[in-house]
Amino acid sequence: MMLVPALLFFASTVGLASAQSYNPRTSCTSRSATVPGWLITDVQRPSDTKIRFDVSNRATGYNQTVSCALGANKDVYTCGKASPEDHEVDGSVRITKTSIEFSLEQSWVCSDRGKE
Amino acid sequence: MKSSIKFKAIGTQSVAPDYTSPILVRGSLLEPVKITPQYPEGPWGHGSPGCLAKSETPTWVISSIHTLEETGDGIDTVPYKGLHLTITNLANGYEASCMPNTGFSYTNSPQFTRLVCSGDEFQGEDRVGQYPISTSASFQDSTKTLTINQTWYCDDVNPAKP
Repeated sequence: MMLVPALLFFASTVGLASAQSYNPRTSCTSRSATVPGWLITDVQRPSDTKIRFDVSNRATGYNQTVSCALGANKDVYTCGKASPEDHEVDGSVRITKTSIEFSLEQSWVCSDRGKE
Repeated sequence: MKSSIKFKAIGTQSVAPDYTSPILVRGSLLEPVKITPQYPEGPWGHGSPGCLAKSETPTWVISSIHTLEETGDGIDTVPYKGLHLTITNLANGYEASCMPNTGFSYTNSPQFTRLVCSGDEFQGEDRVGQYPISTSASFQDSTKTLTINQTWYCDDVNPAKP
Protein backbone atom coordinates (compact mmCIF):
# COMPACT_ATOMS: atom_id res chain seq x y z
CA MET A 1 0.00 0.00 0.00
CA MET A 2 2.86 2.37 0.71
CA LEU A 3 4.23 1.94 -2.79
CA VAL A 4 1.51 3.92 -4.50
CA PRO A 5 2.13 7.34 -2.89
CA ALA A 6 5.87 6.88 -3.36
CA LEU A 7 5.43 6.24 -7.07
CA LEU A 8 3.08 9.18 -7.42
CA PHE A 9 5.57 11.47 -5.74
CA PHE A 10 8.33 10.27 -8.05
CA ALA A 11 6.21 10.83 -11.13
CA SER A 12 5.24 14.36 -10.16
CA THR A 13 8.84 15.30 -9.41
CA VAL A 14 9.98 14.15 -12.84
CA GLY A 15 7.09 16.05 -14.42
CA LEU A 16 8.09 19.27 -12.69
CA ALA A 17 11.74 18.98 -13.63
CA SER A 18 11.07 18.54 -17.34
CA ALA A 19 8.46 21.33 -17.32
CA GLN A 20 11.03 23.72 -15.87
CA SER A 21 13.72 22.98 -18.44
CA TYR A 22 11.33 23.72 -21.32
CA ASN A 23 9.54 26.72 -19.91
CA PRO A 24 9.26 28.99 -22.97
CA ARG A 25 9.10 32.11 -20.79
CA THR A 26 12.47 31.48 -19.20
CA SER A 27 14.28 29.21 -21.65
CA CYS A 28 17.40 30.78 -23.17
CA THR A 29 16.65 29.37 -26.63
CA SER A 30 13.00 30.46 -26.63
CA ARG A 31 13.74 33.96 -25.38
CA SER A 32 16.63 34.35 -27.84
CA ALA A 33 14.32 33.51 -30.72
CA THR A 34 11.39 35.64 -29.56
CA VAL A 35 12.73 38.64 -27.64
CA PRO A 36 16.39 39.11 -28.58
CA GLY A 37 17.45 42.51 -27.31
CA TRP A 38 18.95 44.50 -24.51
CA LEU A 39 18.23 46.87 -21.69
CA ILE A 40 20.69 49.72 -21.31
CA THR A 41 21.06 51.36 -17.91
CA ASP A 42 23.41 53.65 -16.02
CA VAL A 43 24.77 55.60 -18.99
CA GLN A 44 27.76 57.64 -17.86
CA ARG A 45 30.14 60.06 -19.55
CA PRO A 46 33.28 60.13 -17.42
CA SER A 47 34.90 62.43 -19.97
CA ASP A 48 34.17 64.05 -23.34
CA THR A 49 35.83 61.19 -25.16
CA LYS A 50 34.44 58.28 -23.14
CA ILE A 51 30.99 56.84 -22.53
CA ARG A 52 30.00 53.70 -20.68
CA PHE A 53 26.79 51.90 -19.80
CA ASP A 54 25.45 48.62 -18.48
CA VAL A 55 23.94 46.18 -20.96
CA SER A 56 21.60 43.41 -19.89
CA ASN A 57 20.76 40.74 -22.47
CA ARG A 58 16.98 40.20 -22.32
CA ALA A 59 17.25 36.62 -23.52
CA THR A 60 19.94 35.40 -21.16
CA GLY A 61 19.96 37.98 -18.35
CA TYR A 62 23.73 38.38 -18.79
CA ASN A 63 24.88 41.76 -17.47
CA GLN A 64 28.02 43.68 -18.33
CA THR A 65 29.47 47.16 -18.50
CA VAL A 66 30.40 48.35 -21.98
CA SER A 67 32.90 51.14 -22.56
CA CYS A 68 33.05 53.30 -25.64
CA ALA A 69 35.61 55.81 -26.92
CA LEU A 70 35.22 58.72 -29.30
CA GLY A 71 36.51 57.81 -32.74
CA ALA A 72 37.77 59.86 -35.66
CA ASN A 73 34.20 60.72 -36.57
CA LYS A 74 33.50 63.44 -34.03
CA ASP A 75 30.09 62.28 -32.85
CA VAL A 76 30.45 58.49 -32.90
CA TYR A 77 31.76 56.51 -29.95
CA THR A 78 32.95 53.01 -30.74
CA CYS A 79 32.24 50.34 -28.14
CA GLY A 80 33.92 47.02 -27.72
CA LYS A 81 34.26 44.54 -24.96
CA ALA A 82 37.29 42.32 -24.70
CA SER A 83 35.18 39.88 -22.72
CA PRO A 84 34.87 36.11 -23.00
CA GLU A 85 33.80 35.10 -26.49
CA ASP A 86 30.33 34.26 -25.20
CA HIS A 87 28.35 37.49 -24.79
CA GLU A 88 30.96 39.62 -26.51
CA VAL A 89 29.51 43.03 -27.35
CA ASP A 90 30.29 45.31 -30.28
CA GLY A 91 28.55 48.57 -30.78
CA SER A 92 28.51 52.28 -31.17
CA VAL A 93 26.89 55.35 -29.69
CA ARG A 94 26.13 58.32 -31.90
CA ILE A 95 25.35 61.55 -30.10
CA THR A 96 23.76 64.50 -31.86
CA LYS A 97 22.06 67.58 -30.47
CA THR A 98 18.63 65.97 -30.64
CA SER A 99 19.28 62.28 -30.02
CA ILE A 100 21.48 59.52 -28.69
CA GLU A 101 21.58 56.41 -30.84
CA PHE A 102 22.76 53.10 -29.41
CA SER A 103 23.75 50.28 -31.77
CA LEU A 104 24.61 46.90 -30.34
CA GLU A 105 25.78 43.57 -31.68
CA GLN A 106 26.19 40.53 -29.45
CA SER A 107 26.73 36.79 -29.75
CA TRP A 108 25.78 34.20 -27.17
CA VAL A 109 25.19 30.49 -26.85
CA CYS A 110 22.15 28.66 -25.47
CA SER A 111 22.46 25.04 -24.39
CA ASP A 112 19.04 24.28 -22.95
CA ARG A 113 17.53 22.26 -25.79
CA GLY A 114 17.80 18.54 -26.46
CA LYS A 115 17.85 15.58 -24.11
CA GLU A 116 20.01 15.36 -21.02
CA MET B 1 23.09 15.25 -25.19
CA LYS B 2 22.18 18.93 -24.93
CA SER B 3 22.76 20.80 -28.14
CA SER B 4 24.19 24.31 -28.22
CA ILE B 5 22.83 27.02 -30.45
CA LYS B 6 24.82 30.17 -31.17
CA PHE B 7 22.80 33.36 -31.42
CA LYS B 8 23.97 36.66 -32.84
CA ALA B 9 21.79 39.75 -32.76
CA ILE B 10 22.01 43.40 -33.73
CA GLY B 11 19.81 46.28 -32.71
CA THR B 12 19.63 50.06 -32.75
CA GLN B 13 17.60 52.40 -30.60
CA SER B 14 17.52 56.17 -30.72
CA VAL B 15 16.47 58.17 -27.66
CA ALA B 16 16.00 61.85 -26.88
CA PRO B 17 18.70 63.51 -24.74
CA ASP B 18 16.24 63.61 -21.81
CA TYR B 19 15.53 59.87 -22.06
CA THR B 20 14.44 57.82 -19.09
CA SER B 21 16.48 54.78 -18.12
CA PRO B 22 16.49 51.90 -18.92
CA ILE B 23 16.57 52.01 -22.71
CA LEU B 24 15.05 49.04 -24.48
CA VAL B 25 16.93 47.97 -27.62
CA ARG B 26 15.06 45.41 -29.71
CA GLY B 27 17.30 43.12 -31.66
CA SER B 28 17.17 41.23 -34.94
CA LEU B 29 18.85 37.86 -35.22
CA LEU B 30 21.77 37.34 -37.63
CA GLU B 31 22.43 33.78 -36.42
CA PRO B 32 21.33 30.98 -36.43
CA VAL B 33 18.90 32.43 -38.98
CA LYS B 34 18.47 36.01 -40.15
CA ILE B 35 15.14 37.05 -38.75
CA THR B 36 13.45 39.92 -36.97
CA PRO B 37 11.00 38.48 -34.46
CA GLN B 38 7.54 39.89 -34.21
CA TYR B 39 7.63 41.24 -30.69
CA PRO B 40 4.64 40.78 -28.40
CA GLU B 41 2.43 43.85 -28.66
CA GLY B 42 1.83 44.33 -24.95
CA PRO B 43 -1.43 45.59 -23.46
CA TRP B 44 -3.29 48.43 -25.14
CA GLY B 45 -1.64 51.84 -24.75
CA HIS B 46 1.10 50.56 -22.46
CA GLY B 47 3.69 52.87 -24.00
CA SER B 48 1.45 55.95 -24.45
CA PRO B 49 3.42 59.06 -23.56
CA GLY B 50 2.46 60.13 -20.03
CA CYS B 51 0.63 56.85 -19.33
CA LEU B 52 2.19 56.42 -15.89
CA ALA B 53 1.90 60.08 -14.87
CA LYS B 54 -1.73 60.33 -16.00
CA SER B 55 -2.55 57.13 -14.14
CA GLU B 56 -1.73 58.89 -10.86
CA THR B 57 -5.08 60.64 -11.26
CA PRO B 58 -7.17 58.19 -13.29
CA THR B 59 -9.68 59.86 -15.59
CA TRP B 60 -12.28 58.28 -17.83
CA VAL B 61 -14.49 59.83 -20.47
CA ILE B 62 -17.96 58.33 -20.65
CA SER B 63 -19.61 58.44 -24.07
CA SER B 64 -22.28 56.78 -26.20
CA ILE B 65 -24.61 56.55 -23.23
CA HIS B 66 -27.96 55.05 -23.93
CA THR B 67 -30.59 53.29 -21.92
CA LEU B 68 -33.05 50.74 -23.06
CA GLU B 69 -36.33 50.12 -21.32
CA GLU B 70 -38.75 47.47 -22.44
CA THR B 71 -41.86 46.85 -20.43
CA GLY B 72 -42.46 43.41 -21.92
CA ASP B 73 -45.83 41.85 -22.23
CA GLY B 74 -45.26 39.43 -19.36
CA ILE B 75 -46.05 36.47 -21.59
CA ASP B 76 -43.43 36.15 -24.34
CA THR B 77 -41.07 38.93 -23.32
CA VAL B 78 -39.79 39.93 -19.90
CA PRO B 79 -39.32 43.51 -18.75
CA TYR B 80 -35.82 44.75 -19.49
CA LYS B 81 -34.02 47.86 -18.39
CA GLY B 82 -30.47 48.34 -19.47
CA LEU B 83 -27.67 50.87 -19.52
CA HIS B 84 -25.03 50.87 -22.25
CA LEU B 85 -22.01 53.15 -22.37
CA THR B 86 -18.43 53.52 -23.54
CA ILE B 87 -15.54 54.20 -21.15
CA THR B 88 -12.30 55.73 -22.44
CA ASN B 89 -9.27 55.77 -20.16
CA LEU B 90 -7.34 58.99 -20.79
CA ALA B 91 -4.06 57.51 -19.54
CA ASN B 92 -3.71 54.93 -22.31
CA GLY B 93 -6.56 55.67 -24.72
CA TYR B 94 -8.15 52.29 -24.02
CA GLU B 95 -11.82 52.15 -24.88
CA ALA B 96 -14.25 49.66 -23.39
CA SER B 97 -17.92 49.14 -24.18
CA CYS B 98 -20.17 48.26 -21.28
CA MET B 99 -23.49 46.50 -21.19
CA PRO B 100 -25.63 45.07 -18.42
CA ASN B 101 -24.42 41.83 -16.95
CA THR B 102 -27.41 39.59 -17.40
CA GLY B 103 -25.73 36.46 -16.12
CA PHE B 104 -27.68 34.28 -13.74
CA SER B 105 -25.22 34.85 -10.92
CA TYR B 106 -26.26 38.50 -10.52
CA THR B 107 -29.66 39.90 -9.92
CA ASN B 108 -29.94 43.32 -11.48
CA SER B 109 -32.61 45.53 -10.06
CA PRO B 110 -33.82 48.80 -11.55
CA GLN B 111 -31.87 50.55 -8.79
CA PHE B 112 -28.52 48.87 -9.34
CA THR B 113 -26.96 47.69 -12.59
CA ARG B 114 -23.77 45.71 -12.91
CA LEU B 115 -22.04 46.27 -16.22
CA VAL B 116 -19.63 44.02 -18.06
CA CYS B 117 -17.09 45.84 -20.18
CA SER B 118 -14.79 44.80 -22.98
CA GLY B 119 -12.45 46.55 -25.37
CA ASP B 120 -10.05 45.49 -28.06
CA GLU B 121 -9.49 42.09 -26.43
CA PHE B 122 -13.08 41.16 -27.36
CA GLN B 123 -11.86 40.85 -30.97
CA GLY B 124 -9.83 37.75 -30.31
CA GLU B 125 -7.95 35.58 -27.91
CA ASP B 126 -4.57 36.48 -29.42
CA ARG B 127 -4.98 40.01 -28.09
CA VAL B 128 -4.99 38.85 -24.50
CA GLY B 129 -1.48 38.33 -23.25
CA GLN B 130 0.28 38.19 -19.94
CA TYR B 131 -1.10 41.59 -18.92
CA PRO B 132 -4.81 41.65 -19.65
CA ILE B 133 -6.74 44.89 -19.19
CA SER B 134 -9.94 44.24 -17.30
CA THR B 135 -12.89 46.54 -16.71
CA SER B 136 -16.10 46.31 -14.75
CA ALA B 137 -18.60 48.96 -13.75
CA SER B 138 -21.84 49.45 -11.92
CA PHE B 139 -24.52 52.09 -11.81
CA GLN B 140 -26.53 53.04 -8.75
CA ASP B 141 -29.75 54.66 -9.91
CA SER B 142 -30.77 56.30 -6.63
CA THR B 143 -27.54 58.30 -6.36
CA LYS B 144 -26.85 58.37 -10.12
CA THR B 145 -23.37 57.04 -9.36
CA LEU B 146 -21.27 55.21 -11.91
CA THR B 147 -18.46 53.14 -10.38
CA ILE B 148 -15.58 51.97 -12.60
CA ASN B 149 -13.07 49.26 -11.69
CA GLN B 150 -10.29 48.92 -14.23
CA THR B 151 -6.81 47.35 -14.35
CA TRP B 152 -4.31 48.59 -16.95
CA TYR B 153 -0.56 48.71 -17.51
CA CYS B 154 1.95 51.47 -18.30
CA ASP B 155 5.59 51.10 -19.27
CA ASP B 156 6.19 54.44 -20.96
CA VAL B 157 8.70 55.41 -18.26
CA ASN B 158 10.37 52.04 -17.78
CA PRO B 159 10.14 49.66 -20.76
CA ALA B 160 11.68 46.91 -18.63
CA LYS B 161 8.49 46.66 -16.59
CA PRO B 162 6.21 44.91 -16.87
